[in-house]
Amino acid sequence: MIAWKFLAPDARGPFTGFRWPRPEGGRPGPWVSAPEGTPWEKWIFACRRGDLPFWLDEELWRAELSGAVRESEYQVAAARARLVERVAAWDAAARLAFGESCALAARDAAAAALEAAGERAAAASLRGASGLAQIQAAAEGLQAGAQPAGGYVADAARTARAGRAATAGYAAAVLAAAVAGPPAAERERARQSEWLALRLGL
Amino acid sequence: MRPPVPTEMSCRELVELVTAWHEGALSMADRTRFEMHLCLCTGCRGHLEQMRRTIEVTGRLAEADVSPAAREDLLRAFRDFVRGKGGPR
Repeated sequence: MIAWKFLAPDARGPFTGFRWPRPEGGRPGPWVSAPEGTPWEKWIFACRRGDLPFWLDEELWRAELSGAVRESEYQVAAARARLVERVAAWDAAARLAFGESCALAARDAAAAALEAAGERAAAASLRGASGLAQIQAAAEGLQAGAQPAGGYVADAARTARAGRAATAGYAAAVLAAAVAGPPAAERERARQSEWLALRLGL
Repeated sequence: MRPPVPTEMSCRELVELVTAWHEGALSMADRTRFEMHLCLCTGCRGHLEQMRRTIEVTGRLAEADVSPAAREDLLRAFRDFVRGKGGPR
């Protein structure tokens, strides 16, 4: 099974610090196995396409999973895995662009909610903002009646500007849930997955 | 349907759970929340990295590795520290 794995710089596990053996000479890296008898909760975890926005990190790798594979809510676990190749398209520019797409989604969701609540001036102020700096400034300038939506938009724009793509995606999903309920947040996460798949050719 | 935004974990909760995470003692749900929080929070990521380096430098010391006498000495020192020598209460 082919899945994806986000890693910290130098192919390190973002939480454990484990250094993954990298592919060399066009060949996949060596297999890494969980010790025999290890419960599945301690196997090797990777992402399906829909899981990607929850686990963004600096490097993205295509990974092959083998042996027993178990699917869980936000990831898939396997007893063995190896890195096949790095997804080079997931770079600083892509992280910034992903964050920007989330800030724009947050801006639009907040503007729609404000309009529905009769806060027309606030909605127009947000809709008129383009570019991360402008969106952040417009959101930070909103009055108390436009909160908490304005705060989430500002968070999405600010973190996107800082290259913190995961946090921008999170802010957009939380905003969607806050203004339109859990199904809207699910749609926002699905949008993020689609964006990543399209941009990165997954 | 999975929640698109899992139940949030606060930084304080993460710090309280970091030892259990290191020991692999968290439930799958809590481990997922713990690790998702790390994807979002640079401060907690730094905290975990410091913990990992400390463990690397000092080596692993399990509770069972501490002799009963040493354990008693440590407990006494902590008790005295809290009771009367300016420690936190």
